[in-house]
Amino acid sequence: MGVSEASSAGVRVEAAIAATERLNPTLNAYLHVDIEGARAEAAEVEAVEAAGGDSGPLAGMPVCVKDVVDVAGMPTTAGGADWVRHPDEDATVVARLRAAGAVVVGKGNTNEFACGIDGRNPHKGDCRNPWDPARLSGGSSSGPAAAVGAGMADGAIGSDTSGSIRVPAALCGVVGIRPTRGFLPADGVVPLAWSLDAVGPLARDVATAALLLDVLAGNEPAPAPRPEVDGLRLGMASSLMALAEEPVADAIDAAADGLRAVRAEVVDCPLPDLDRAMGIHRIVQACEVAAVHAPWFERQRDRYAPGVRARIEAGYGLPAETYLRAQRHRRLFTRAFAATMDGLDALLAPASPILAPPIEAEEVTIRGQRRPVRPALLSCVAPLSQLDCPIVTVPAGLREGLPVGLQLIGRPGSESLLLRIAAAVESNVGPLHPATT
Amino acid sequence: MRASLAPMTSRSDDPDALVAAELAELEALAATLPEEEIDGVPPVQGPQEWE
Repeated sequence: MGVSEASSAGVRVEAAIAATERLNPTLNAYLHVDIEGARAEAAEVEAVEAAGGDSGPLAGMPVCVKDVVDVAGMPTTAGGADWVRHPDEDATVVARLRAAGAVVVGKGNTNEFACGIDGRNPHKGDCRNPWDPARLSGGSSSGPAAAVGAGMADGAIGSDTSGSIRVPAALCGVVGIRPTRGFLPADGVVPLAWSLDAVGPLARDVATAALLLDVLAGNEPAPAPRPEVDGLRLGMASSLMALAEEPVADAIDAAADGLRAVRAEVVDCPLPDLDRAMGIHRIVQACEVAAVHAPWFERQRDRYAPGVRARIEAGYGLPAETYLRAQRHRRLFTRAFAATMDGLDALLAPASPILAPPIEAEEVTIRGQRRPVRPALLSCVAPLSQLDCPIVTVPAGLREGLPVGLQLIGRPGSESLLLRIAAAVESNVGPLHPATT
Repeated sequence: MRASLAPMTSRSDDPDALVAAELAELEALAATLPEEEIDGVPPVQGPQEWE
């Protein structure tokens, strides 16, 4: 369990280090840890404060940075087999965290080149779920979510292309924010698919996630979001609820009831063609990831895991016209989705339709239907990645001892509204703490 | 209802076969995106403002 914000930088960082030393050998949340560096940064924060200075709004907060994001002095491997760079400069989002007093403990595990949703990595080892190490953490921001969930960090930076913040946040029981695309700078971040990627924070609770978002955006921190939803009209994404196994749907329904109890209106909301949206997503991502990897793909072709290689290499086989046609249909889908939200303040939906499955599972059965794990994990998140809008995942409770994540989907720029709703959900559920920590 | 595990499925370990299968899926998906519906619709380029 993390240490409260009132603790000194040294105490908070030592607590994260202790949790890391105890749990990382099992969870594999960090690929690279700089314990001495973290201690030195914490000492600097304490020295500033001892001299009466202000170390910033994140003073002494231990953070985990997904290993697709550059941190000066630490290798960036992107979870690849042999791919590595050694940056001299922090990514802008990391520089902003450090300037606000945060302490980088290390680099978080990720699916290979962020190309995956399950948190498995054949090159670096699978990341495991802090609620049950025999289960998937979700990915690709697997390390950040597991580190925060296990108290190995109080905050984290992840990235989300198809759901890579939202799914691991849901399975690990933490808060994750996919901001409005372009809201946070992406320099110093290894891209997966430029027109879909979004960098965002993860944290144990809504207030910390909101604080991190402000800092990452270069804004003055706003007061913590208040759980005020009186008078809001919210849509329940019934077509995504229909994909969820019953324990997940039950937790999402309970969260909706909790919002009704504090005078939000929640109504059913059918969505535009999600199958088509998934097709658009896959085509756009395949073409863009192929372009990203083109400079080194021929040299490294045999070093990728076969499934990742297939997702990249297939992109070279699609004509430019197909990519552009998908991007034109993406605009149509966004228009239809925006029309669906007319009269609504936000939408509710499960982030993952399933509880964290066993790590070696290849299929799950949902409402009697057998589905491969990967498409199941993508089903409630990837269609929404087309929209460029903010989406917050917040814990909606526990079922069968595992967390369930609720997605809150809003219009571009509506992060503060979504965080108010998330705070209201959290006030009923509370931050979750796995027994393993 | 708890998600229950099905038996492990066998998958091809041939990378070239996986690439071909992935490309075939993408081409099938592309066939579901008709040209006539997007007459006059520009492609997404930067982050979208909802219209």
